[in-house]
Amino acid sequence: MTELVVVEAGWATSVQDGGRRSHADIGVPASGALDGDLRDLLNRLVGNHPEAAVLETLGRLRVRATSAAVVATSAERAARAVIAGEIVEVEPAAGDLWGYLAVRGGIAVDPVLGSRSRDSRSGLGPAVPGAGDRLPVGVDPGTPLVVDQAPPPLRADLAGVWPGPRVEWFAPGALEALAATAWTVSADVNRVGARLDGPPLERRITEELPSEGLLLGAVQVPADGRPVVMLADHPTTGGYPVLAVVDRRALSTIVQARPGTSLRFHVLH
Amino acid sequence: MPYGPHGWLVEVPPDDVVGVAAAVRHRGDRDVLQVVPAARTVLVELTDGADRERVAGWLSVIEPEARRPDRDGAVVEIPVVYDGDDLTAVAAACGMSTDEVVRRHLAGRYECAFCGFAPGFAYLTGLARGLQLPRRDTPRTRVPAGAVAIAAEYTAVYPSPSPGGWHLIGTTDAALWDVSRPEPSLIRPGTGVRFVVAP
Repeated sequence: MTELVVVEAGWATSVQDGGRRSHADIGVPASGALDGDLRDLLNRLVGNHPEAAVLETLGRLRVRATSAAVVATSAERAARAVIAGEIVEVEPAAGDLWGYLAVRGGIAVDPVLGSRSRDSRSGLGPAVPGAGDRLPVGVDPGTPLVVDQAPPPLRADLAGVWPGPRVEWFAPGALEALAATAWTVSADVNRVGARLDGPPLERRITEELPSEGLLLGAVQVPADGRPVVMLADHPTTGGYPVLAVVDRRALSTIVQARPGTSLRFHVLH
Repeated sequence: MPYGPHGWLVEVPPDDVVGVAAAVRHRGDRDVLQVVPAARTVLVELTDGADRERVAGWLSVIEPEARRPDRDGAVVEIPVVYDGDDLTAVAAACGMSTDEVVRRHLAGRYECAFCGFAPGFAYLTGLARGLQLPRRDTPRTRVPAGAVAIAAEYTAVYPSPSPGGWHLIGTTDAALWDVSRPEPSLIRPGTGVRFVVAP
């Protein structure tokens, strides 16, 4: 059985797949790869199911294949064969925040509650890979390898959002203000959410909102008026009003926006 | 109201949250991915490609399921040692002795209205009026697993260590959360709960 030996664990590295999407009612978030589109693509490049388990990292991840394998990394966006003993470096693509490694057969650690994804808030899921760990690679899927390279995406700095369920909790024109502002991605971004800096969004109702369910992409606005976009490990319920919901197609744009970069929204109807 | 293209948020009186969530779930609609009850709402998350208008049609007239005492929600008994760090402060704030706080907490017949905040964290309704206090001004950075707590109209048991702003009145060694179980969460929406003095 092929293994990937962790030579250097890198930053914020974890195993992620398609997530566990039906346990919010017991407080378990979906988790899964932050950039689902990139996970899908790299998996397809190596002939995997798009939601097969991959390694996700902020960078400096290095693994060594114990025998022949086929991998695709976010920096290369191409499938390539590696030989026994070869080291694979995993970094985010230029301009991106998160990098991925897909291996043909998938990362075959034991699933927890139906998924190989790690929830960074609760620790639910596979352990964080550490130097020296041996990650098993799954059986060859027997699929043909048909595409060997994909062009780099055009990373727009514009994300479509839908009006959220609590627009009326905000001052009139709040959605327009959300769309008119060039938000700056703060340093406070992680698997749970991405906090944005900019002029505070004004509330009309200032009482506490009784906790209600949250969805991926929800734009929550806490008391300081600065929006936070809910990402893969977001809590399943929350007490801040949601002004808007980021369109799924724009999630990878949000997730890959590096701190300090600019982000704009446009409202979909 | 719409929660983006993949969700409907339904506002529900608190007493009906459990019944409405159960009614939506038991309908088994193919376009419903999951149902997330909360304090005064039920969030219905839809599958990819769902016909959201069709779902809105039946969702807008949904009635809460009638309570059935023999429903799958069996009553879970939680043994408690009433030794919480906030017990004395709670008693003072509620104008009663610590024994009275304990008596009233034990007397309650609780139900899980919803889970949130962390895996297995169940918000239990049924807390005596006289014990209802706002959350602590300063949350603790670490509350241990098994801490029995109260805040606002709820009581809860912390399933794992986490930050927390609730008032700690006791501890239990019951395993609220265990992924090796078929049902990892001991308490889920609709589960009845009673607290008993630990032997």
